[in-house]
Amino acid sequence: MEHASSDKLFRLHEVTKNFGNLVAIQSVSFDVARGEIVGLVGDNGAGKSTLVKVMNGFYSPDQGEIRFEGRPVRFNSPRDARRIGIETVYQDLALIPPLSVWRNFFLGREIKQGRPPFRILSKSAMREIAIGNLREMGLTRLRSPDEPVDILSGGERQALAIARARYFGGSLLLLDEPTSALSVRETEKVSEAVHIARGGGLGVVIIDHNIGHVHRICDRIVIMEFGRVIGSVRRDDVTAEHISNMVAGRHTL
Amino acid sequence: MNGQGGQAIADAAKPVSRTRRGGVWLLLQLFAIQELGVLIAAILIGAVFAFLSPEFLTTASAGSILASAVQFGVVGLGVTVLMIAGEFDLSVASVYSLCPLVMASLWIVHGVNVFVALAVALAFAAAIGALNGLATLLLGIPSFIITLATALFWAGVSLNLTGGYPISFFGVSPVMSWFGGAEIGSSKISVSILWLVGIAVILAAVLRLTALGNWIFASGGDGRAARAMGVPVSAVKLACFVLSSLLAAFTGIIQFGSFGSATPTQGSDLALTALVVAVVGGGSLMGGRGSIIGALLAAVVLGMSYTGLVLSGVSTTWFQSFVGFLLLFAVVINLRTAGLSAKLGVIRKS
Repeated sequence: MEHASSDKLFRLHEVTKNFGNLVAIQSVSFDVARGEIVGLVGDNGAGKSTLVKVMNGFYSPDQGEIRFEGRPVRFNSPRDARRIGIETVYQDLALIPPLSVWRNFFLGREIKQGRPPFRILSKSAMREIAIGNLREMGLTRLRSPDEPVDILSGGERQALAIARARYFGGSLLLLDEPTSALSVRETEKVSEAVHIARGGGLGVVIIDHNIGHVHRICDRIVIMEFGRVIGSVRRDDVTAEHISNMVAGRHTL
Repeated sequence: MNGQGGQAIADAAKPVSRTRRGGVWLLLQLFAIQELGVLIAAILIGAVFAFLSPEFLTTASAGSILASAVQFGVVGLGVTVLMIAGEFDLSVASVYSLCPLVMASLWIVHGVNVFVALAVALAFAAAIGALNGLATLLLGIPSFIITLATALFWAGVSLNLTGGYPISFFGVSPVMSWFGGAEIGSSKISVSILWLVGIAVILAAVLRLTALGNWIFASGGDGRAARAMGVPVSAVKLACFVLSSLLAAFTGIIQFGSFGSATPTQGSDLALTALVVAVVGGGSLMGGRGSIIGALLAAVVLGMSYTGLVLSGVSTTWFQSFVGFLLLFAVVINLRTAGLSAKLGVIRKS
């Protein structure tokens, strides 16, 4: 039993979170292994967002336990979660369009040189790291790290946000709606980026409404309803339609 | 024989094509300049006035151009930084007239030490800026509205402070000389230009070379996203409000130093002119974009226009109309050059 829990990167055990009288999630158990891509699906209000916000330290749970690499952890803020390498990519909160790629990549975590108070940016180092990480993510169309983010497509922007989270995080990546409003081709770019990130040993959790996309990208899909986990299926065992039925409340599995 | 001839032709062709490529490369690099739009405007307007008036290209005219550029520029730089951070400050005109009045009143009317009076006036400006920032951030009301309200309030305070009369200084004071009374060497150029250039260099360095600069652009580009990335957006914006107000007061004190008189009603159109400086310089009303070098050039363009109109025999009462025309003209060039460089695939360094 002890062994089983320690080979998981991240594990929630019977976690409950209430908002006043409203039970947002109720004794939810959930885990992610290194290199695993887990999809989190469910109708609006099923508790997906709350679950992610418990995982990234935005909320602390009322009951239950969180283990990271087998050890119990307690996050008082998203910063605590970030410190151990849990990075969240919010769809509409990820990037600043008028800023260049490298400035976005290092926003809030700039590399500096020199003595205070005259610490200046190490631009060449940041340019090099940013473009290198983006090329690894398959963003080969990008010619320079000085290009502004607003010329990137939706899929490329997500790939940039994922590359950044991978570079700074390195253990668990939480993606909030990474493919919503994206075309199939753009979704492929996100999928590619997620698979490259997983290749380096990252655990990935994806919340998405588009079950087709989730089914295409993820190894395992967890279905939530009314604040509870009602199923966890391996992608290879089910079709996208099965999952849709479960989300819609037709439990045919 | 034939092959040799062909070789000779190829050799002759080589340097030609190389220089042509070099020329194209140079032209493309021109489009990489973020401030190209305002640079073109500056050259065009300078050329037109040089053509209209032979006195335009003299040191006396340069002194006049730079003196106006300081008045539009120092306050414009503060408004530019604030606009990059995504906020407005319409109260700069009121601060511009109120703070030198506070200084003059304490110093000349009440006999307070000049340095103390100066410090109090600047601290007062900083407090007004902080108030603008706190009201905007805490009440969640757009800064356009907040600073319109404070602009009206402080303009009224200015009028009532002296009953509408100016306060004049007769005599010699080093402080007045430092802030514009003196001229550089034996030229007709006021020392005030050194303040403008010095402030511009510092602000440009902060914006482009420091993490704080990155945060200022990010806060204006998308405040929510910047906050999600751990940028202290409210603190950054607050600092920019204080800067804008401080530089407005500074401009007013330079004006006081240059002319020896602080007037409650002066500079009432400065709030809009400062916005013109920021926008002509390449700033966006949506935040996240703007350039200190651009704003500096825009201030020089305004200075050239003012002096140029006078020298061309046109009444300065036409100045505002000219600024209106200039604003449209410069914004169109800015957009066109930016669009063209994107089309040409030229990358502007950030």
